[in-house]
Amino acid sequence: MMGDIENILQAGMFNSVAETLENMAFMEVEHAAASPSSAEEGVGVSLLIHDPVQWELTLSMPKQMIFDIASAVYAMPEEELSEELLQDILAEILNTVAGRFLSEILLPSETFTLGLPEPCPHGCPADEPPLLVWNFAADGLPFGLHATGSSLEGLQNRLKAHIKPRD
Amino acid sequence: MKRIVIADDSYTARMFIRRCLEIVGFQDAQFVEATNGKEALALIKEEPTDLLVTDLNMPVMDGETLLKWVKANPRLNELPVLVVTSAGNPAKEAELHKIGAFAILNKPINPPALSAALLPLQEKS
Repeated sequence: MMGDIENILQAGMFNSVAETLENMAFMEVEHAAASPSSAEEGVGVSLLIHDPVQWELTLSMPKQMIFDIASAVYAMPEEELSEELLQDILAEILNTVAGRFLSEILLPSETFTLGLPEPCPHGCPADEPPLLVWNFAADGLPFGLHATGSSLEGLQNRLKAHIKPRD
Repeated sequence: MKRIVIADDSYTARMFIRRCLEIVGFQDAQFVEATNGKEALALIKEEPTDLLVTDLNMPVMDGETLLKWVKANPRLNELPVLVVTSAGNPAKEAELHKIGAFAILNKPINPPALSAALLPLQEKS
């Protein structure tokens, strides 16, 4: 049963990230085996899911990837992108991904509540072991998400029975 | 000239919404931006407004509360409110329509979806 839930959460997150980055920036997302290297200069942002689970969801992305998104979506040259703007772009991506993820995995009758994205300028180290980790890559650049917080059991009976992963 | 108020706490989201609106035919509109529902409410009280585009998840006053304030005010309740959110699902959308949202779009929005959502409004004018 727990394995089924994890499969739904993995497929749900992949679909949400792939749809968000494809719609926003025409980027093609793929699964990656490993998390982004700590040597990679990255930016992080986290967001609380208040209901139906109590999780902190964190997204970390290399700066170069955010530059690429800013250029594709907002036609912004790299030199005009302040740290604040990079955080804002990443926060908007996480906000969108989190909402899509919960819509994707939860039954249509279930509502959810999200907090506001918060930046972690020097990366977002997990202060507890993550419940779930998702590693992806887009245009050759690795990025990842992880969730910490309450167990997966709060999701039982609220999830869709199956989610078809995108091709 | 149409006056459009965009409420979203993210600068890049406001910019993206504005660009999409310009693409679908509102390039001559006057855009006014707010970072939360309270600011947006003050802006639409201040001058006649043709469209309010709001996010749901914002600090100080969220988009759902803003929608309730607009629809409860006899001077403002005819204002079309487009909700652009990442926190939408069928149950939430039904709730927002019941309160009086004109249309609801999930983020990230795109010009075709925005154009289809605003078509009744453009036909009316």
